[in-house]
Amino acid sequence: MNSEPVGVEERYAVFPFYLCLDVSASMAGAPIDSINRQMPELRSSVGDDPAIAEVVRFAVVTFSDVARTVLPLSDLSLVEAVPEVRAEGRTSYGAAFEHLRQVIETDYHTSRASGDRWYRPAVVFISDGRPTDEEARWRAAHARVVDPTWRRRPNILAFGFGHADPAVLASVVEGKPDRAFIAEEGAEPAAVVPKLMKGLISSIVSSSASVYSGEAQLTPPDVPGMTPIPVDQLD
Amino acid sequence: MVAEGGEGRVFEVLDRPGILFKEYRRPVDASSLRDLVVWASASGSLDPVMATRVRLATAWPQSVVRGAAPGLADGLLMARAPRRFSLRHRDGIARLATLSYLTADPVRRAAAYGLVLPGQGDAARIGLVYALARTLEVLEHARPSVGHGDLSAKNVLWSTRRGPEVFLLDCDNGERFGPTGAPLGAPGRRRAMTPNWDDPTVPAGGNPGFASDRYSLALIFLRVVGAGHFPVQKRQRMAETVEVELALPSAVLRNPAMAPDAPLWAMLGRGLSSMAGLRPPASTWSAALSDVLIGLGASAVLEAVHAAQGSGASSIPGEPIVGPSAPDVAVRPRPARPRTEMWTFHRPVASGGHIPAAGGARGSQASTPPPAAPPAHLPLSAQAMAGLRRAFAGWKSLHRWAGSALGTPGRRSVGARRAAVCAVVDFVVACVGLLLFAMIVSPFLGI
Ligand SMILES: Nc1ncnc2c1ncn2[C@@H]1O[C@H](COP(=O)(O)OP(=O)(O)OP(=O)(O)O)[C@@H](O)[C@H]1O
Repeated sequence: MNSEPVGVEERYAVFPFYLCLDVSASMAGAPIDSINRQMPELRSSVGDDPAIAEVVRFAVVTFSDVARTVLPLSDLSLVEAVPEVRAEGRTSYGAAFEHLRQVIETDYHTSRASGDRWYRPAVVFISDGRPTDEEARWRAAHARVVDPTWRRRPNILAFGFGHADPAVLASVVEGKPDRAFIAEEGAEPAAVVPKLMKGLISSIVSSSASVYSGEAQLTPPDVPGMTPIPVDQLD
Repeated sequence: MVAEGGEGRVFEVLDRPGILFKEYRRPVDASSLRDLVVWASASGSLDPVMATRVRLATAWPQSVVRGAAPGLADGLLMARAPRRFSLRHRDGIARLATLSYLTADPVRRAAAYGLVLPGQGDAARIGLVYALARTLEVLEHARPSVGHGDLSAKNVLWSTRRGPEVFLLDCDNGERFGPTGAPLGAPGRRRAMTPNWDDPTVPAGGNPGFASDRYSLALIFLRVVGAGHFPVQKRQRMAETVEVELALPSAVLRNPAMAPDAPLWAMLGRGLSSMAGLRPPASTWSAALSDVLIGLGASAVLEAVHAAQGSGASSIPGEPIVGPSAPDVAVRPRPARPRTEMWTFHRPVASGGHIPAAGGARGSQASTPPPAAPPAHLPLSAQAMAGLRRAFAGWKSLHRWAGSALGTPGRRSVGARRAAVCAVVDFVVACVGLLLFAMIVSPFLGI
């Protein structure tokens, strides 16, 4: 025999998705409401299909002055409802990235301990504003998330609207082409957000299908200019 | 619209309940489709008993919907999967009962969806594969024979309501094969296979062959009876030999038909083999699984399958189960350790509330020892627990209902009446509890 036996414990590696959501005060009203309204659909589209739920793990992290884990990395079939998010405070990108680095690292070890293997995680970063914290701080925190020597470093997709700064979002995705998307000037957040959430759902669904094909890829939400990203399995 | 697939969209048909219209995104060759329709119809060569079995267990194309262009079909009509081939989740919404529900830890699935699923190695699971084998043997032994070609989790629905039954979708993907195993349909026709459920000997972009359904049947046995994914194809495609460790409850393995040295396991290995010629035909599987079910003392399951399929007739006698081991696939059954994970369904604390990042929804890994009951019995105790939980919730809301009125000025008399109802209920509960307690302790006191 050339390799280890295939047993019942052998599962497909899972695809972790972190929704990293700006909940600064400017997101209050329509944008936050529409995120909260779409979340049940996301939960059921992923969680109610056992084939999708099996290979996807989903977390919601919010940030304003501070960052929090609103939904810890979960199998959505075991979650009844994703807690609602609330707007508060300012826009600290630094808090967001510091938190992300820490939760991804912790989640990875917890998952490993329970027998789950991981594909490279995806972070879907959504913001409607510019960072309000000191540039040096958030850039340092960001550098730690995308640090090439950090084995768990995620693929980041960024979506901006409202006052989000294209140049800043471009640096969030490390200047990689096809990974940041900015809504047109003056686009209504109430119109943009539902599209984004729908895009996120189909992105998770098609990415999960690719896990079964053995060639996993992160399929970005269907917005112009974005292309699928091949993902590797972490050891 | 009912659903959307890769090749088309599926609609209900006005005035024809139970019938669905599948509309292709791109029109397909009409003659291949028409041949499939005729194959299962009264004017086809199928024996009426076998035709009934196909009708009851598949969404076979019933008629071709012609397109504007000559020779092309826009779609087809087929039977809708009967309602028993769906599962109602905790939210009360019914969803198609795909094989995905069975190819994972049943305890985890039960926790997620509030369903009661048969345990690993359970006779109901074997019965489902038996029902599938009996359906496929009809396709295989007909002249011409038909291969489905895409027996995936999504395309094989199941039900245990009337006894184990399957219902196959996407049958228009099927192909007729001649006596030599050569496809009879229009050349160049593309037939889909689902990743993870495909025959590893079919090259990328190729069509499933005559023996592909035999592989699928063996794979479905492994995944459904073993309640896991057993991802074997990737290794097989790299021409590796594969050793599968199949964990089953000890009670199942004690049965001679499923004992570790039973010929069933070598047969499963041949079914999964990359040497397509070794794969046993579906009729051999039916014969083998019928023996297994009888050996397990589950002849009621056997009869239930026959009743649901309209008859117990077999299309042809199966070949002997005993045969050589496949050189490339070995299946080794071993007693299952109870799985070490416990899965809990997570409810949010309160809307807007933040839940702690630690533990929480990610199926709290129990540090306590796993339940001692064999997996096959877990669903029952899960059911009992759910019942108790519901009863407790009912009892709580009853008291809240009384309390709310008592606490509202002006509604005190209503409240008093409700409190009386509660008191009566509590009294009855207390009496029953006392009685149970007395029954439990009396033997110890020697009464
Ligand atoms: N007979 C049926 N009864 C109930 N639902 C059905 C039936 N046939 C199809 N469906 C629904 O429609 C979906 C698509 O059907 P089908 O698999 O036939 O289409 P397809 O385009 O060939 O799909 P794919 O190639 O993606 O599997 C199914 O997954 C199922 O949800």
